[in-house]
Amino acid sequence: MLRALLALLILSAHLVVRAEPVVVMRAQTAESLSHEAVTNIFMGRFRALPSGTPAQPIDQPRDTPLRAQFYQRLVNKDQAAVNAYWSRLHFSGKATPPLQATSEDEVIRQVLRQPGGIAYVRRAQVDSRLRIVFELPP
Amino acid sequence: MKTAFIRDGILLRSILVTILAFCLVGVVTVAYTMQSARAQAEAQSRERIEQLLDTVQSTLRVAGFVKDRELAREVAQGLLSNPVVLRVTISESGNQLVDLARGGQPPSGEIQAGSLVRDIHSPFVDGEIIGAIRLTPDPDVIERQIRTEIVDRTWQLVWQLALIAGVMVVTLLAFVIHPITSISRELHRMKAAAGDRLRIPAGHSKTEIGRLVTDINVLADDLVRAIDEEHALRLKQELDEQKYHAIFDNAESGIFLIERNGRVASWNPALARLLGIARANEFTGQLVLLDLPWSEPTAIGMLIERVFVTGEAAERDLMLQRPDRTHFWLNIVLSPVGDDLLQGVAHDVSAHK
Repeated sequence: MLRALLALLILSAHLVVRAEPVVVMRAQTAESLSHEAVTNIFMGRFRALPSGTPAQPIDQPRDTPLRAQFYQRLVNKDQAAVNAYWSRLHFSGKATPPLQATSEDEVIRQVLRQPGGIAYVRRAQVDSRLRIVFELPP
Repeated sequence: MKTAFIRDGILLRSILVTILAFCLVGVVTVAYTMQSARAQAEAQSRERIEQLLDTVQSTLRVAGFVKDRELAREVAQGLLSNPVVLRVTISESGNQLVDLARGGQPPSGEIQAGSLVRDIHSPFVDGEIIGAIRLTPDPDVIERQIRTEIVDRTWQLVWQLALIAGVMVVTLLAFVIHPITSISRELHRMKAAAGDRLRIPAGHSKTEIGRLVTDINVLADDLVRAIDEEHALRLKQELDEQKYHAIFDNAESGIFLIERNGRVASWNPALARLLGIARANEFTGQLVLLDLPWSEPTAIGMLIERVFVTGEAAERDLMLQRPDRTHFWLNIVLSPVGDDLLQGVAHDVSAHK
């Protein structure tokens, strides 16, 4: 019984870990990003990688738990606050929000399609085509 | 009299002193109020500017974070719509995003010195400073606001002081001046000897004014009683004097007063009859005892000398010549009265000789 409970606990932890968002780029990239750099890219402050390559952030579909979890852990804001932030910037056109994907697969396709593509995906989705450039702190 | 009362009375003096005191207090208070109102108005202006910055803080962070000049310009224009703000400068990491001034002309360096500078923090990273906003207030507008504040508060103070002064004057008039005037008028007309007394003004039976009236009435009673007693004593004294005069005038013995030099200062009708001279009140010139026609002229002088020297009464029978050349004997008794006066009594003792 105890063993069964322990196994269940380990399995749950494993599943949680596999569900957490990580920031990825194409496998060919040599970039490694800091928390600040990822924040700047996804919140529109800079649209270039430290190497100088133009960056193209890609968002998960609207109202997905992964998206909410990512922004909460990245900038400590809920989805409404992030939307309000982009609304403020919308009229000036100076900064644009990340590219909006329609599905999780679409996110990966967009990352693979362009050199500066950067997105957050569930750790379980990371395969040989992708490289983790930043892991959110616990 | 009414004019004199107004000019010299307590009412005018009280009003003048009250007004002067209030003017003095008013000047000091207004000066202090001006000082404090200025400090307060300046603090309020600064607080308003701080509140303005608080209002745009969130948008300012976003504009600074993405270096959005358009958004920063919107914020600056919004701030400039407030008349207190003269110039707004927003910078991000040392780079100027926007610099707007009212009227397009940047203010002088002296005005810039009064600027308020506040850091712009990152909207996403706590404690990270990504820029700064400098807000320069319009000193003319603030000065106008301060003046308005000072004038309002000064007027308010003046009205308050005037109201309090008015209330004090009316109170003085009602509770002090009017009763005292009434008492003064009654006291002026009062005939204490005839039994007149002051009335206590209404409502003052237990006040200082009531006690004053009571004391005045007691004083009047004492005074009238003292006058009556003095009058009675004077009447008694006059009666006693009349009695003594009657005894002096009607005595059979000659009674007289002589001075050290022998001059007779006073004598009764009996002595005038014995000596055959006029009464004291009819006598002209001086009557000197030594000059009378004594058979032994030195004897009377020695008798007088002896009494003055010994200070004790002495007597002697002396013979005296009448104007008709006949002689008679007088028994003279002298007694000292004070230092320089002797009282004498003379009897005709011729029958015993």
